[in-house]
Amino acid sequence: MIAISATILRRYFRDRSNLFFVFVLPFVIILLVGVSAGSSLETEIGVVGARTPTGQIVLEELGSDDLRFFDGDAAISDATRAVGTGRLAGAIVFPERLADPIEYVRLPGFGSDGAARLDDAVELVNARAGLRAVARDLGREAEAADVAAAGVTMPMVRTERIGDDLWGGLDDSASAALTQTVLFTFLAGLTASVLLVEDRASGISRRHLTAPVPTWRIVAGEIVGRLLITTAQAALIVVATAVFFDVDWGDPFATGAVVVLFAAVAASCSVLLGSMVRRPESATAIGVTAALVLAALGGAMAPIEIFPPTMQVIARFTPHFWAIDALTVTMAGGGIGDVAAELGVLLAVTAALLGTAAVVRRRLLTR
Amino acid sequence: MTALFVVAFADLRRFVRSRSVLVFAVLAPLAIMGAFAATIGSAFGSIGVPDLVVVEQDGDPLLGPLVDGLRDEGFEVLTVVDDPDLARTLVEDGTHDAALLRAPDAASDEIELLVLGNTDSSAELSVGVAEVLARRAAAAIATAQALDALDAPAGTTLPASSFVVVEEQAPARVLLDETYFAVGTAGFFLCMAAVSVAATMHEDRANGTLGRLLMAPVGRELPVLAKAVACGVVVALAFTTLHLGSVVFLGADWGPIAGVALLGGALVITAVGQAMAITTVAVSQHAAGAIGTALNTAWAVFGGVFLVIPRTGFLNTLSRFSPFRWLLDGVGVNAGVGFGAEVVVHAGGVASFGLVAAAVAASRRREVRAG
Repeated sequence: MIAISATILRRYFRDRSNLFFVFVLPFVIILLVGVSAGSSLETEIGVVGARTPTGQIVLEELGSDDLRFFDGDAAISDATRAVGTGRLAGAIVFPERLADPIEYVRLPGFGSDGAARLDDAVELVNARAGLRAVARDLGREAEAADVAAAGVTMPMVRTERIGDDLWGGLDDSASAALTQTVLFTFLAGLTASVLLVEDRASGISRRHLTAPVPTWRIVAGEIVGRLLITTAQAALIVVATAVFFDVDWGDPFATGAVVVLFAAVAASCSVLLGSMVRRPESATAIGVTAALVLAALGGAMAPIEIFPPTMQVIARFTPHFWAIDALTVTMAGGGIGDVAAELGVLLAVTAALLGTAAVVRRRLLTR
Repeated sequence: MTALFVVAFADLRRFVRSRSVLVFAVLAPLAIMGAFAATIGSAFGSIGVPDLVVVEQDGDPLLGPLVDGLRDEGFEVLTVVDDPDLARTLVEDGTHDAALLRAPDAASDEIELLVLGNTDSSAELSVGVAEVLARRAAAAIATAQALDALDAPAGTTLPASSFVVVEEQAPARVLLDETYFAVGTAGFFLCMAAVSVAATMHEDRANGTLGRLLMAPVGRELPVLAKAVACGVVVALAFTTLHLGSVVFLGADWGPIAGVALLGGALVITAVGQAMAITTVAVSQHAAGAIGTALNTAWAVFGGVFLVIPRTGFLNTLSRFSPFRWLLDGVGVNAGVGFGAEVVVHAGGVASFGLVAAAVAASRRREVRAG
């Protein structure tokens, strides 16, 4: 069995394209996780007309943090375009005339913090101006009006989000590392099923049968070889993101167990698919489709918390859900005991798939 | 030319017979869009009316008038409770989207309001409304206190506001909703599918088809060109299904059809170009699949198919080296501001990857041997 696994690995790595597949591609994912850790959505707000009378008054309250100023004839169109392409969270356009309204330009669903900041500043300016007017009407001293106006401060409003946190409350880099590892491991595993279809077509699988070993050992050897490749890819992403980008995967034993079991599910699916289809292009088509569909259903593309209730139940029928659930727990500090249920499900899925894959593959080889 | 189409047609007939076309062009695209529609589709369409809980304890000078004002304005879904813990529970379990209350830990002389918002994305509208209401209520009470300090008679109000803010919507040049995932995944799937179809050339070599073709009195480049034509037909069919599937199932908005056709054509060129380049460089069908998966996954992750890429910084620059980023931006412009020169530029950006790849394939066309 070990000899057959070793043969599979040797053949696999003799092909340079596979070296690229196993070692280079994971680093693409790793680099993305690392870079995305330091990036966030835009918070900068554009300002047009800062030198207008309205601009000068309001900017005194607004401050200058996170503001980008636009000047010139094309200032409005430049700022609006930057908002439209997502390079700015929003843009404030101060009018030339004091009587005209201030415009706040943004994309729907974005830039609400900037809108609130502008609202607060304008409310404050209005309140202070109003108090001064009232004081003047009441015949109060200008000094008293100023004291009263200064008493008006920015309202204190805090927002706290409660309920189920997206991705279990993990930060962006951790959730990216987690989901990309799961998505990629399964995608890589399934697309590699082409090799098995080719082996059958080229007669390599049949030549294995001429060896003086039982068929089940040949099948086991094929599965183990595939499992080692898939596990190596997933482990590479986990270790490299932890070492180079400080992604905290939590308890190494628990994380390791989840990664190995999920890789085993991917390897079993790969062998099953490679044994069930006759043509390499069909293996790729079904493999890529299944990997994308299961990733979408299992919560590897969007957080499960935003799914409708029925889809949250259906997600539980994908291995991705259990792997993501378990890794979310380990990344949040859980140990192997905390993910026992998830590991149990992954183990059961692996056993069922491995058994089916072994039977189908054995039948195919001996037919 | 006739020979080219005869060979391409024969290839297509083989794909139809083996049901590859059915899988690539119909079943797989529909399955992918169906999965998206079932999971993330509802998340973008579920923003409804604001749904608030306001905690009003007896005689509260701040929240009492706010509740009265909201009722006068006919605010539809408004629940008033007197227990902050109950409000927290109602938001936490998703019964209500957001709650508005006085911050329990604020000093007695401070005006501090707390907005509790559910983490569900469908609660965004209610949280936003609650934040605006809270700020206005707190500003009103602060102004009232300042009027007291001026010894203003009861009933004194401030004059009409000097400055008014109006909100304008910027014409979107980026995809903001489910269309983003539909377009990105369509690009990724088509390129993967193209590699798989084009790589059957290695199978043709193994079963002798390529050898027989090369013996015929036609140019040596014919097998490569014919495979590219067959591949293009399958990919174009798959693109059409993906587009229609995303519109029907997800309600995706790709913009005017002229732009969709141009960007779709550019995507087909890139999918076929990179597939032919990979096929002519790879030594086997499996090697072609491995290189194709590696290249397209790299393009997908850096192009923002699986993770939304920020619009500034290093990742933004890097994403320009992926055709999927050009495709996503092109459809964004097409859907946001309509078909025009900008869409043509983005289509050119998408197609340029395919043309470079096609040049690689063309330079290796004479390397295609029978075995």
